[in-house]
Amino acid sequence: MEISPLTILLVLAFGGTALTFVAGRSARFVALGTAIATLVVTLGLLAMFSLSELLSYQFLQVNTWFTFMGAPGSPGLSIDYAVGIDGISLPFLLLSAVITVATVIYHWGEEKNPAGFFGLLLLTNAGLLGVFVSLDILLFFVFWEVVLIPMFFLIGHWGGPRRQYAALKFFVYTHVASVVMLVSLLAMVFLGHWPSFDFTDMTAVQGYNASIPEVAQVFLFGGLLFGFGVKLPMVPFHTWLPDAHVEAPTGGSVFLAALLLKMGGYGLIRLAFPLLSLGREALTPLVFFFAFLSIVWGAYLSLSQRDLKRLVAYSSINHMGVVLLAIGLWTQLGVMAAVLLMFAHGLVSGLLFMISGSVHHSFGTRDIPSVGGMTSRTPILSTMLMVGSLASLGLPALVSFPAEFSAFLATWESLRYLVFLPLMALVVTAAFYIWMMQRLSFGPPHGIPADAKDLPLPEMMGMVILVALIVLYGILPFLLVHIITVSPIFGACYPGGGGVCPGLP
Amino acid sequence: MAFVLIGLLGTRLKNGGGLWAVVAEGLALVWGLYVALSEMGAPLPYHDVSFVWFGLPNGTNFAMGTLVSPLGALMLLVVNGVGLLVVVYSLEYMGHEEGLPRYYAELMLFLTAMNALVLADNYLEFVLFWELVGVCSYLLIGFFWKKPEAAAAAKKAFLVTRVGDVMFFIGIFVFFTAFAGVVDPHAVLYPGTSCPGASVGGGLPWACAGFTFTTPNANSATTFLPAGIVAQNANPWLMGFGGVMILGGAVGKSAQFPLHPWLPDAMEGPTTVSALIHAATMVAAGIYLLAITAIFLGFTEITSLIILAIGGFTSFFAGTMGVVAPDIKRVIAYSTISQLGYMAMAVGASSLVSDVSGTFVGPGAAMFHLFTHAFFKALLFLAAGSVIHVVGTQDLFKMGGLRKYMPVTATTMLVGALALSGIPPFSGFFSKDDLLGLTYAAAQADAVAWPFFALALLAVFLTALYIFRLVFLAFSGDRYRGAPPSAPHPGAAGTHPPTDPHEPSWIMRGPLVILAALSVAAGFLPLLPAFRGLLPGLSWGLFGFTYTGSGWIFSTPDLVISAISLGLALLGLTTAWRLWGNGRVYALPAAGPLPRIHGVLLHRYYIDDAYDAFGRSVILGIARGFAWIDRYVIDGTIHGFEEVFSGISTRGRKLQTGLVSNYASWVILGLVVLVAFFLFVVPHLSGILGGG
Repeated sequence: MEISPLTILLVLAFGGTALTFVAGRSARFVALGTAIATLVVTLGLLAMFSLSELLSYQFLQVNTWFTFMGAPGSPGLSIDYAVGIDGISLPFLLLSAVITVATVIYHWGEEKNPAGFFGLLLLTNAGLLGVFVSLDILLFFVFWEVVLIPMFFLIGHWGGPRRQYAALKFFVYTHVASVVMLVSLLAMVFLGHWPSFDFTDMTAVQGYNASIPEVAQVFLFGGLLFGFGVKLPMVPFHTWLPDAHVEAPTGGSVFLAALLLKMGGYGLIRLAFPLLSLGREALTPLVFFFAFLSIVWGAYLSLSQRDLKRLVAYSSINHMGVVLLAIGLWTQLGVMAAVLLMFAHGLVSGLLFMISGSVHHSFGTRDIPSVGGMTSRTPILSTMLMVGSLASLGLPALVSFPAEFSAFLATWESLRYLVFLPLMALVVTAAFYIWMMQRLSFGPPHGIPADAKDLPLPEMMGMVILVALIVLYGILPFLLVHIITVSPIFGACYPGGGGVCPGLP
Repeated sequence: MAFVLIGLLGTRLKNGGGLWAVVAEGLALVWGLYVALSEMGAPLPYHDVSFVWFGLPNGTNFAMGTLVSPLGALMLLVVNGVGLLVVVYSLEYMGHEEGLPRYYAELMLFLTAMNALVLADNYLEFVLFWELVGVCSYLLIGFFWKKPEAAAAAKKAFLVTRVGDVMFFIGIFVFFTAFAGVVDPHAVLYPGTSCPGASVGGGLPWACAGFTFTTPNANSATTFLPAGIVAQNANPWLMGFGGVMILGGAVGKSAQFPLHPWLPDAMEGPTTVSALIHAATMVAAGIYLLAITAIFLGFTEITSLIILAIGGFTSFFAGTMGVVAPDIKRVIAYSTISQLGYMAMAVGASSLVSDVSGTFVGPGAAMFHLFTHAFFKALLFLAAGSVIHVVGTQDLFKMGGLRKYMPVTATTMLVGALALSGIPPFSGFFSKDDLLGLTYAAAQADAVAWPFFALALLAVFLTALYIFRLVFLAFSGDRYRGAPPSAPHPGAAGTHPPTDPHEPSWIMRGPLVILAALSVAAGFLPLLPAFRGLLPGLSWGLFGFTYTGSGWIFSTPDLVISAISLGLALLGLTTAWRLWGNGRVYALPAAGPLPRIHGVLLHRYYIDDAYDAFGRSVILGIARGFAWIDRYVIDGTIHGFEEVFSGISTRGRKLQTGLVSNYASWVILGLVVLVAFFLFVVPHLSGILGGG
């Protein structure tokens, strides 16, 4: 049996998690070791990833777990251990690994049950890696749920004053979405008479699904849109997010914004959009409606927030709305922009949540009006806040710019004048960041406690890692774009793709 | 070329003081001179190898490259020339401030971004550096961040220009989608061309596209604009829309009506930064954008007219506010808006004439005014900076009589004022004359332009009026003997007690003298054929006699326009002398409409207040309304569901100690039930549904 490096990656991630849980006082060293080891393996994958293998998944490993007989007359159905990656999943692996390393470093001084804290972080990371490499519906779902549970504990145990409420809300909300998603996915498998749960061959699966009648496809697509959309989150199914973020510990927020939201976008790109073409065509206007609503809603709600963390949380809704819009266009430019933007948002929102955490450490509050002129006491933190804000509002030479530019260009190509709507929200996005900086960073200092300290070294290190990547991919976006487009989803439109072009226009 | 840019950046990083910045900027100027001279020798665009910034399998590519066009070479001279002088001047002016490394770093990044913008070979690259320029100006305007006004002004500058940027984005989208897979002037200019050497990296002669930049005289240009790609497009509405969107970007950046309010507020930044923003970097980018777009793409007739109208109106509108402003820097700021209006008007006029006549008339007049304006505007700002540095206030009414104490500053300021007002032989006369003549031609081509031509003429009067008001209030009469300013202006002269004024050192006076000399000399440069090669469509004339390169042509309308504009300027000057010649504030009559007009102007037509109110009540109101809905309607509905479930979970909590494990078991149980349901029930159902 050939072992894929992806399997090694998963074993490493889960094994390290288990070790961390039992490591006791030295948990943080084990956690950092595990995080770096997964990062090294991921970088190895990056190095070995072939840019010319366009039509299939790479590092593929498929082992049939078990097969059982369905109804009389129907063929058997096998559940597989199927893992593999393409250019769309690789950036998410990289993002997960990097965010984990940065978060562990940021939380180096964590004192409340560190073994449990780091163990749960790593478990989340392991589950995420699993989600992004699985090519089997059930395997995908198992990992999907694995991610959910540690996050529930992270919020519920390490969180703020209303952590119980927030944890419960997060769990119930996303679990309902998971159930709807699972029902739709299973129904897709059964209605399409898939021979197994794995979807390693996209064209074949598209063939099976072609037999699903349109009405059923519309329902299935709607179910998946809801299931993944709650995670994204899309308005009006977003209200779990601000509560979860505000109550979660910093590391939890970073994971939530940088990684968990991406599962929704990833699921849409990997499963809902390519596999259910009739449903997609019917419901695309609905997708656009939700996307525009999320963009506008997120921007205006951020503007009305007083709490820095809530502001960043709502800005995520705005940015993920742009992601949903770009996916909904379902063109090469759109999907590339969506993946790049998710990657960008992962780095930037991670940075901003770290900053919110540090602001809270330094000043004892995150209430924007009650602190001002913090540049005078905490210049480094203030600089980080500026970099993060400027990156988030799409400044060139930082990673969001090529992504947002592509997303809006793609929107113009498909929807023409409707692009005004998200672009006007872009002004509001700029407004709330700039206004927030004016109040927090500038002006005469006020509300700063006497013992306010600038960033401690670990927190700064964690942020510096993210800033470095934000700048690197902002200046050289092709490093990532080259990879993203190597995927069966872009697939057959490449020269040498055999003239068939089932991929994206 | 890219090497030099990187060198600039590298220097920027390790510079702790201003000397490094001076060295770097000096090198940049030398290099700019070299580029400009080689462009003058043989006006060929130098196109460096482009590389793909990112691309897609379907052939969509976003490239990055450098392109030196004649206009770009001219801009390099302006940017680095003024940049060098401003950096030198900063050595003393900013010498006592905190955070100098930050100042020089931001200044150098500002200049680097501007250089790169000028060299961009496509709109995406252009907009990238355009935004960087915007952010640098945000940082520099907010340099004195402890002052709430500075922080607010920085915010305003960023947000107002952002509105323009959004429109600019859309403009790029329009032309990108309409013309090419690559936003590259060459792809737009030479679609499917078979020009010799037309490959990437090879020199591309401009003439290859069918038009040349060496046209000496706009009126006699005979070369057609076959690449007038906008005119050829089958969808004129869309082309017009795209042009207007590009204009929107320029309006934001160059502070044209209605996106002008950020520029006067930007005076909160250090005076050196104001000089740079107003003369060479930020606001010049907008005009440069219009100019290169006019060349590479062209504007439709309606768009040209809109550009002309906005420019003409702004030139007048800003001038009226300049007449009453009490702050020395703000007067100059309004004059910048007004002069930028002239430049925009000239771009509109030249492309309107091109549209109507079918003959390409380049935006050279606008760029020539940008060129001369850069010198005399930098001069005015730096001279004003000297005054502020010495007297410790920006309030014109608290100056007066400074001529005796600061003769060099007074003289150079006078030169700047004469150049700005358009009095020969100072440079402003020649460039303003050229663009007024062009607007006259445009008005003949399309009668709608007449009122804006008239407004532009009135603005000539206003220009002389407000700038000499400034000069007289500051320098003539007696020294202000009122109470010293209670709080010295932070930053500007925080460390200088308002004792007897004296000239600053030669570090500050030197740049003033050089700029004064340039303000005179720049007007005569078009006599050199090589210089004219940089400016398509430029004509140079003196009272109706236009120089064609080999001889002189006389035209009566040109003479009349010159005479009228000179007359208006002199009228403005004398009016200013009558009102403020003694250096004192002119008391308005209490009765009549004048005080009311004065009030409206002081409040800047209430436009700033209206924008503020809009932001505060409408935008924030929407935000609060949405927040309410979010909390009580959307989340309220969810809570309704939660009520239902909470019963179950309460019961569950009684069964188990930990509520979490409880949920975990629910998950697993639910999963088992679901899988079982689908494995055993659904296959039968699907058979019944007839899926196959």
